[in-house]
Amino acid sequence: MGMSSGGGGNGRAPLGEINVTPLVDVMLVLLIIFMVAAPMMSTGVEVDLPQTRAPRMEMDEEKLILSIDAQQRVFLGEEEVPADRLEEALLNNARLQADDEIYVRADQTVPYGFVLRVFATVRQAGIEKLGLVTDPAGGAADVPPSGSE
Amino acid sequence: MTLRRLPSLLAASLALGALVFVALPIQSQEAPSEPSEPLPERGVVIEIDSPERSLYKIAVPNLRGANTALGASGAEVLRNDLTLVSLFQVLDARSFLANLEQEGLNITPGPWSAVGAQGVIKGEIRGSGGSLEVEMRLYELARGTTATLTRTYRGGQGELRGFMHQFANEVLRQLTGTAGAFDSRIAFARRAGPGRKDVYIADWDGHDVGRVSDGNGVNMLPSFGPGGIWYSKLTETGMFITHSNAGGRRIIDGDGLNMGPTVCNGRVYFTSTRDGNSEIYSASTSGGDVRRITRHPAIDVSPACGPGGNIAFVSTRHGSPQIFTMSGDGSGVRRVTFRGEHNQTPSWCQRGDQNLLAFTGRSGGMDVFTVNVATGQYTRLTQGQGSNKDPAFSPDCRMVAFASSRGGIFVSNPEGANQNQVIRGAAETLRWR
Repeated sequence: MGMSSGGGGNGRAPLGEINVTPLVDVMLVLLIIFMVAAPMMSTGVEVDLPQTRAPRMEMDEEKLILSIDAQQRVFLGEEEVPADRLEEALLNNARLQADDEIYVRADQTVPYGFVLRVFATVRQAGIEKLGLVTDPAGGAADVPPSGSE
Repeated sequence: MTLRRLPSLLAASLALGALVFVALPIQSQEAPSEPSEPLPERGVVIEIDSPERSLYKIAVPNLRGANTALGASGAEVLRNDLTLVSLFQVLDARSFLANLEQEGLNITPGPWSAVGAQGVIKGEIRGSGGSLEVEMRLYELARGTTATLTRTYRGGQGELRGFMHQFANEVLRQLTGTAGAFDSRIAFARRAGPGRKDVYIADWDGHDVGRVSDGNGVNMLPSFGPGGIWYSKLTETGMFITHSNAGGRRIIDGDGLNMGPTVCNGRVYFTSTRDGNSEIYSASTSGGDVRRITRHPAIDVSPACGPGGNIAFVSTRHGSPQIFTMSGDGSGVRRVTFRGEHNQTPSWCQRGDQNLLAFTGRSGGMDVFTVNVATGQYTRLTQGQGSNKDPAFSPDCRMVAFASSRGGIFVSNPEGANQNQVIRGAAETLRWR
């Protein structure tokens, strides 16, 4: 390299265009996590969600939900998945491959380390977007199903 | 492909003040910036990489029953049928969440929709050995938990594959309105040794390969017709035409070569050199009443019966070998291929509404093409995948089989996608019915 730049470093070197390749590379390895306010959850798994004041994002109820209950059992939809089957169940799930997105509802008492291990499995399954479902501050009383305010 | 997601990913992370986790110990506590800014509308997304998008996602768990190996082999026949026909994405059993024991022959929709299934096929084998009862059910999740298709088959263990093919046919009828053709077979010729060729028949999925000809001499150019498989046999003085139930009798014989039979309009069409030049003739199925169909000093060969009793054939009357069509009495000759220097081995899609003809195009190597005889539009099925020749449409025209130098008979969809080997070993001049 340098052959083409020719006339030494005295003059102002032309500014090249921004190289976006590294940016793209970085974006590829990110796991995008965002918080989702729990609407009327249709799943039957009982989970005591953490309460937050984070800005709400409308939840797409069509997306698959992964729940972790207080006993650290993992559910896809409403079906319990044994820990040793979780990775292959996620990896081969055609719906996740199409959606590329999953919502996680973890009980607030579940240890951070356990949740993180599940995140890592989700990431290994190639899912780039992960929504963390929270209970909007104020609890369920604040968010009636009809949403009148 | 990943680039198109970039804007929406960026937007989502910015607008939501997302926490971004990297696999590095970054210390950061970002407060959400711009609160509750609405998510921007998605821009126009042009899908260029998802030919699988429209595939119907179907789950086919192993059939229930005491003999688990049998149940697995039956389901595998179905899964293979549905995969090769290029209309389905057969879901991986490792993703299944349903409690199959508890469900039995019924379904609970939740766990199936959680794995993306749009349809589920359940089955059960009762009895054993020579008296099986096989109950099959198709569930369409969008239509509730009642099976939309139920069939029960009774027979021996050896018939299980056939039952699965028949049920797959019915599944296609239920979902598309047109039945499948999975209980069909492919006839082909194969070089058996120096100076020897034999005619074979096999289930289209490669099962049950069996020899049709007697194992002596050169037997070639098979085709389906009354009496079984018709084919041509080489002798010291020429070639005659016989079929699998003729007991070695010469059904059509004469001076010179008599070869390449194809049966329609109640008659056998074949190529003969009895008048000195290669022309196309027809005869009754008992071999009498021989009539000459083509009259041209150029070479006319390879007749192939199509819908409506029309005949496709190869002729050099315009110079290079090209595909022509004509009616069963030889009238209305029309050239249908205008590309390439050398086109041969025509074979029709037997569904008259499709007007499709498959053929081999030679230009250096050989590749498989189809042409719509009504619009003249070509589709190239193979390119840069070795030498591929002698195509045949499946009876429902959803698949095309061809002989490939990659080592056997391959099946693809009519656009050339989803190519899979179904029969190993050398093969040529395919017919599928």
